[in-house]
Amino acid sequence: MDDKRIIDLYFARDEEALAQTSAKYGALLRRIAENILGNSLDAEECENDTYLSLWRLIPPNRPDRLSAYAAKIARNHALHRLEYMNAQKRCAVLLPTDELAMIIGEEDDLSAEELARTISSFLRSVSADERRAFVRHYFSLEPLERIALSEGWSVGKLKSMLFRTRKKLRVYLEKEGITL
Amino acid sequence: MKNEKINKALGMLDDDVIADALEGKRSSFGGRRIVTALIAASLAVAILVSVVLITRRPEVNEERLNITPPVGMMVVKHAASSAQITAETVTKSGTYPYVQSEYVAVEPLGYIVADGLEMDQTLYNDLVSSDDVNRTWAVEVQVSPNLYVTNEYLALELESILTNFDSHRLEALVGIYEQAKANFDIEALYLQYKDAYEIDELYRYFASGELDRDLLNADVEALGKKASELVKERLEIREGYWGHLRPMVLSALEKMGVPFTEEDGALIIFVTESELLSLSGIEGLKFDKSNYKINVIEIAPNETVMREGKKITSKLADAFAEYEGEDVLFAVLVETAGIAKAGSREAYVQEYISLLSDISNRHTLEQALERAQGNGGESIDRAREICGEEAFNRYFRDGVFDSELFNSDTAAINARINEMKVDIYGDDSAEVYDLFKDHVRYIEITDQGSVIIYVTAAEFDALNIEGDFVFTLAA
Repeated sequence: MDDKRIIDLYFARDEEALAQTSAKYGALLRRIAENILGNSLDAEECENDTYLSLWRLIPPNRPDRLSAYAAKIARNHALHRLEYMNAQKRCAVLLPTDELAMIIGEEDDLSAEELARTISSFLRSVSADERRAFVRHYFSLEPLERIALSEGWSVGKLKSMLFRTRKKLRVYLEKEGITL
Repeated sequence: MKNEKINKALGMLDDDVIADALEGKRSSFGGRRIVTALIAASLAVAILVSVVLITRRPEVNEERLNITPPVGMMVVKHAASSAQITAETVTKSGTYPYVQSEYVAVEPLGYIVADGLEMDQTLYNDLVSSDDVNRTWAVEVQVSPNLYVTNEYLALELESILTNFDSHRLEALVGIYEQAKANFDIEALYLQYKDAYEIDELYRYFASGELDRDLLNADVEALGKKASELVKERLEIREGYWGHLRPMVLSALEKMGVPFTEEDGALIIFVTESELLSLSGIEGLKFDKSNYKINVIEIAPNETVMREGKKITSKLADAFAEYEGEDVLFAVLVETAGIAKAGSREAYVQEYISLLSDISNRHTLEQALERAQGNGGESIDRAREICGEEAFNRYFRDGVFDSELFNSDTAAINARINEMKVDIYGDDSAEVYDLFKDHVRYIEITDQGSVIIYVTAAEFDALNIEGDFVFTLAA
C-alpha cells in the first residue's frame, strides 16, 4: 500500500494504518532501534512506541515521506531509551556521532534545528552514494560492516567515503559561517 | 552537550534526505554484492590484484523491495597504483625497496581518536586537508599508551585479576567447607553454592577427609606465579615494548599488502588514506605522522602497446591476455591526450610522482629551516642534512630563512602538479563520457574526474572510437 493511502487510514482513525505501517516499515524501524540499543527486545518496544506516536501525531500532521517521519520517531525513542539505560548503568553504547562531533565545533548559539537544516542542505549537494552512506551510518546508526555488505562496498571504501564526506561537511559548515 | 545537539540535529534532518537514503535510491551501478579477494599477481612488477565478484544479491532488505538487482557478472579489477608494491617484495628485502630513506622523527602534537584509529593530530590534520585520495603517506606505527584498555589487554588484565582472585577464592572455599563440615551438612553447602563454585574443588583439597594444606599452598603459589607473569607482560607492553604484538602487527600488514620498513626501531608504513583507515581493525596501535622522506619511487613499467588499433598499457594487455575469451569485465581508465602529448608516459608519470613526493617533504624542510634560523649550530647542520646542500643554500642565506622564496617555489610546484594532473586524468571527462557511454556496458566518472569504462576484452576490441586515448587498468 502506498504511503498516501496509509496516511489516509490514520486520518480515518482506522487501525489498519498501524498494520500497514508495520508491514511496510516495521523492519526498518526495528533495525534503527536495534542499531542504537543493541538488543531486539528493547528495539521491539521502541517500534511499538513509534506506532503509538504515529497514531497520536497523524492527524493533525500529514508527513510527505512516512518512512522518514516514522524513522525519526523510532530513532528518538531509541535514543531516549538509551539515555535512560545509560543513566541506570544498564549499558554503555558509543555512537558514531562522536566522529561528527570532531568536525562540528562548540557553537552555543547554533540551534539543533539550524544545524539540521544545514546538514540536510549539505547532504543534498553530495552524491547519492555519499548521502546514503552518511544517513545509514549517522542517522540510522548502522554498523559499517552491514552497510558495506549491502551496498557492495569494501569496509575500507565506506570508511574512506564517510571520512571524505565529513571533510566536505566541515568545509560546507565553514562556508555557511559555522565556525569550528 | 555537543554530541546531544548533533544527535538531535540528525534526528531532525529533512524527510526527503532521509527517505531517499533509507528507501534505497541507488546509483545505476548499485544493487550488488561484491565479494573481494586478493590474488597475488605474478606480473613483472608488483601489482595488487583485487578480484571483485559482483553477484546477484542473495537477499534484499525489506525496505528495498523495489530494487531490482542486476544480472550476475564478474569484474576483475587490477588495482595498480604506481606507488604500490606487494608485501612479498617488502618481506624479501626487509625494507621498502623503492624508497631511499631519510627518517626524521616528528614530535606528535597529541593524539586523537578518529575513525577508530588513534592518531597524531598532525597526521589527522594533513589527511583532512589533503584532497588527494591516492597520495601515499609515510606513517609511523607505535604501540598505544592506552594499550591496556584495548580488548586484548583488557582480557589479559582480567585474567590476571581472576587468577589473583582464585587464590582468595580457594581460601574462601576452604573456609566454607570447614564450616559446613563442622555442621555435618555438605549437601546444604552444595545446594547453596553450586552455582558459584565448582564443588569438585572442595573435594580436591579434602580427598583424605582433612584439608590438604600442602596442595592448597602449592596451587596458590602456582597461581600467584602465573599472575605475576601476566602482570609483568602487561607492564612491558604498557612501557612501549612491542612484545608479542609486533609479529601480530607485521603479519596483519603483510596480509593487507601494506608496504613497510623498520628504521632505528621505528616501524613506518606507506599507505593511502583508505588503507590507513582500514588498519583500525588492529587494536592497541597509534599512528604518527612520519616525515620519512620518500625520495625515489620506482614506477612500474607501464609502456603502451597497441591492441586492435588502440593504445593500451602493458598492464591492461597482460590482464586481457590472462582472461582472454572469458566473460570478465575490466575496469579500464580512459586517459586523454595529455599523456600522449607529453611524450614518454613513464617519464611523465615519474616526474609527477616525484613532484608529489617533493611537496610532501616541504613541510619538513620548512620546519628545519625555521628551527635553524633561531637556533644556529646544530640546527643549521640538521637543516642542511634534511634539505640537501642545494635546497639549503637556496633558502638559507646569512643565517636567514627566505620563507618568501620558499613559499613561491612551493606554489610553483603545486601549480605544476595540478597541470600534470589535468594531463594525466584529463579535464574533459564529460566529453569522453559522452563519446563512450553508448558503446560500453557501464561507465562512470570518478570523484577525481577520471572516466572508467567496464568492458570485457572482446568488447574492448570491438570499440571503435576516434580520439587519442590511452587505456589502462583502473587503480
